[in-house]
Amino acid sequence: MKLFTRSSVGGHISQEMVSVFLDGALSTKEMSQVDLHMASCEVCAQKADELRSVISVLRAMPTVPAPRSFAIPVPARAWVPEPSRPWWSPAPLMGLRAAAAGAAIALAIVLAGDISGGFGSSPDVPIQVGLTEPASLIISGTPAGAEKSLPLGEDTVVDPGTSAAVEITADTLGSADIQPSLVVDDGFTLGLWPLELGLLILVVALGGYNFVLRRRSSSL
Amino acid sequence: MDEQTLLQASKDGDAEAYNSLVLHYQTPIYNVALRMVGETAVAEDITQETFVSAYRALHTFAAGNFRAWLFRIATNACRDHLRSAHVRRNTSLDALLENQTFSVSSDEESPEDYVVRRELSGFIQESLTHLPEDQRVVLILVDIQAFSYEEAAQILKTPVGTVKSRLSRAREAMRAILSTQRELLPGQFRSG
Repeated sequence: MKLFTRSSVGGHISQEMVSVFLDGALSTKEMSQVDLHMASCEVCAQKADELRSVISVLRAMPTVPAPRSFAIPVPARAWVPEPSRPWWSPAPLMGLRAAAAGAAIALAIVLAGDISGGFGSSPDVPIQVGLTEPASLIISGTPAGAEKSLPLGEDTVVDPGTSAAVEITADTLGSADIQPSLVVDDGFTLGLWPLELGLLILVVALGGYNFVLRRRSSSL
Repeated sequence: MDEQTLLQASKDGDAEAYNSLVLHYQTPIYNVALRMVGETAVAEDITQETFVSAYRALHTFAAGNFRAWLFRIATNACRDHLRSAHVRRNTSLDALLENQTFSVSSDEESPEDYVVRRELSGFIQESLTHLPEDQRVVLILVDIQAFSYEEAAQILKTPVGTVKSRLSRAREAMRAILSTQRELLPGQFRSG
């Protein structure tokens, strides 16, 4: 803080210095410098007098009594939610972690069930058997390796949860014209995708939120 | 009980202990709010909000100057209000006078002196609302509430040097405003 300002000819005490001087907050050396200057400078003395009046007027402002009691209702615990614990404290975080873990487990179960066909919720897939002669078909799956003969032109169904395959046995090879229209199931049941997607979003959202809160908590 | 004991009891959930602190600080907090916003109803709301917020955040107050911490909450609430209002208060002198924000006349004071003092207080209050917010709050804390530079700096979370410079500018602004109403002011202004 500069003692003197250069803005006036001859140099006067800076406004801030006068203000601090009036509060008696200058060092002993500065106080005596200002005192000495005031004694010979009417401008600074006048400025100090006016500021002193401002301060005295402000300090004389009456204290207004509080219009009512601002005491909080007792017992306060009934309406102040958990005052001893912030919202990002460990307990809520643990709940969030548990929710994220639960959602991840649910997603894993649904995916596993979907891939293994345990849910069996999709419609049966028809097989169109060839047009010339009865053919002996082996449908691998449940029961594994079961052999089944189908009449020509008829539809049959295969458990979509299995990896259904159509084979032509050796004795029918060359004499049968089998053109199965089956598209082999690759293991996923498309009917469950909204549930799987929803669970995935939930896991990512909860995990991300948990991560943000942990960072925020550790930065405090 | 001393303040530290009351504070510890409050942290342990003793609402009665906290209310002892409230009763001790409610008048200065209310006055700071009133001088900052210039409206009694708003000042009441801010005072109540301050004590509720402070109670909820007691666990975050580890140690130090509780008074400064409490006034920081109050001044922040005032600033939030002023920013949300987004307009300079248009409180007229008449409205301020009607708000009864002045102490009653003492036995030694003549009716004429009381009227002058009342008008002066109203005029100063109105003048405060014309100061920039950062200067106003420093002026209220140091010159009206008699906080030290250091404590004001602690409340406002600013360096002491910033407090000094803002206070200096605020006083100069008040000097300029008050010099237009010399008839209300003490001798030095009338002779100037």
